[in-house]
Amino acid sequence: MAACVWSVRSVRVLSEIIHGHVLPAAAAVRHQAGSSRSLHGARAPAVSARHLKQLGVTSLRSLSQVSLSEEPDALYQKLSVRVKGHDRSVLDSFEFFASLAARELGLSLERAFEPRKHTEKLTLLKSVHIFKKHRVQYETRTHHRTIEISRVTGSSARVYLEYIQRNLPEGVAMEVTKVTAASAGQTQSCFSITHSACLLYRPLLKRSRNTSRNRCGTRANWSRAVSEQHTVSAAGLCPLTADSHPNCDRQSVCVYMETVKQMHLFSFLYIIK
Amino acid sequence: MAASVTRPALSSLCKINSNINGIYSLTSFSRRISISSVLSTSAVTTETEAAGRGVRGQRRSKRQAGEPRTERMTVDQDWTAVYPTAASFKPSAVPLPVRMGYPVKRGVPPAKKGNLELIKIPNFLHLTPVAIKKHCEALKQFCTEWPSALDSDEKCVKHFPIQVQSKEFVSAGLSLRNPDVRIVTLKVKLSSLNLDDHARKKMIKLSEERYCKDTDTLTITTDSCPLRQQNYDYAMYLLTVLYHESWKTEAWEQEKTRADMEEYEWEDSPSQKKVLDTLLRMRALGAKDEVEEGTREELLGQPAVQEYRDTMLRLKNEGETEENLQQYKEAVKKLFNI
Repeated sequence: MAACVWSVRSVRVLSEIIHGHVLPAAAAVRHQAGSSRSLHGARAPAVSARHLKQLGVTSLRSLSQVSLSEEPDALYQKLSVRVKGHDRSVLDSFEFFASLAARELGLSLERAFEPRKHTEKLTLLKSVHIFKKHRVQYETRTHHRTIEISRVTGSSARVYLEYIQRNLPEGVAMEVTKVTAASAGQTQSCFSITHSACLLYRPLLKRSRNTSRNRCGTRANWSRAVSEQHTVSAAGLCPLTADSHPNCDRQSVCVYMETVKQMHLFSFLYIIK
Repeated sequence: MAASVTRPALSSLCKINSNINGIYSLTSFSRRISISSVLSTSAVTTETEAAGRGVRGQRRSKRQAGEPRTERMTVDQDWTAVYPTAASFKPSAVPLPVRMGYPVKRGVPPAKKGNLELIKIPNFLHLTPVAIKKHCEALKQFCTEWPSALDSDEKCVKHFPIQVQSKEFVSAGLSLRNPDVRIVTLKVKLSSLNLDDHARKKMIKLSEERYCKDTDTLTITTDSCPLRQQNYDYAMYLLTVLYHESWKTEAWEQEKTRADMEEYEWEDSPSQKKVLDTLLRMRALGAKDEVEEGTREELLGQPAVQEYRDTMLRLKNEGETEENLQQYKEAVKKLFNI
């Protein structure tokens, strides 16, 4: 229900920005009807004790009534779960468990495959003292397993991931990659930018490239980046605060222009750096 | 009767024993003695037994292990009651004849009783298919359905052109945190954005190495902020800025030279001038003609010249391949009427 409303709104907004014209009403209605039909079954009734007994679940004492919130459900185009461990048979069993769970919960399991194992070898001296020619070698093998699930909603993903993670065996690590289908509605901005302002943007673009090159992400870099962000925020350009997302009015634009003019000098220093 | 008679005689012994091992309370000790006296019917034997216990110190009475649970298990039992949660391997509770471990010479892997290897390895006895189905039945009510209108990847990309990728990690260690969690990657196809020719070229020039020509994808990776939400906002902000900036034409963009152009243009190129020059000279040998704008257009409009122009564009933009060079050769031959 909530997801259907959100998707219709986002589609309309998207089309306005991207294609420059409003999506024809017929298409929007069709989309809404389609999604509402699909989501009708998902609107779960409140669970009572009688239902629990019918399910054969008597021990879940903490199961409360299911509530639907107004917050729109996220949509994940792909959910990739990668498990790593030192024992291949444990990962085999876990793959069986995860794929059966996905099937039972109604998620579309795209593929489950085994990436190449990673071996880390170590050559050390065998003896405590001298005997350099005699060494001993150790190796650490890390096996991987990836399960890809496509087209899953936020609630389902959360349920599945929590179930999987709670039953992760000992000595197994997990990495979850989520690819969200985001709408372009959030990028709708209506402030006009002067020439001086664009000088401020170039350093922002450059900065992200420099810090992404630095793999370690040292504290110094972070603090510098954060401090730079804070100085930019004085100009009203801060991307960190939620209300910087401009559906902004004339007043705020004027204020912004003033601060930009003041910052003009500062921006030149940025570029020289 | 007998118990009451033996009790005062053994009270001194009880005191000694309670000094040695304070585990047993006086009453339980005396009860045990009284039971043994009932069984043995002689105070002497109980005394010696108690003395023996007292001398050797801590020595628990060895309880006989009862029959294992596996003996009493039926074939159609509820296994989820035996292993409801993750637990270590209990040989007396698992009715399988499992063997694990490295065999001795001319032997077999050791049996399950007292086998440490079976206890060390994580087991999935609590996650049988029946148990998984039961769990999923209970969890299904919290899941929501995917909108049926977006049943293929192409439709998803069509309606939601921006794809945001982020990672989450679960591992055991000294710290729960993983700094790679803050990295956000934003991918968008430029063909899905509302850009005209100039805006597209400017956007590609602004994004430099973040744009991939083969897949027409702009990838923005942000990791400069400490939180994922902040990095996501920053990435969206960068996309907005790129979009708006590429639509504007600055004054200094008029100074764009031939070296800045992304693709080769034949108009006003040295190649065009040379062709015109050559054709005019060829014409001049035949008849006396004055160079006019009309003749220039006429010359350029000839099909041979047009073909030459197409082959030049193909050579410069797509690169030199066998067939491109062949086509160039044919076009030159036609131009010179060879």
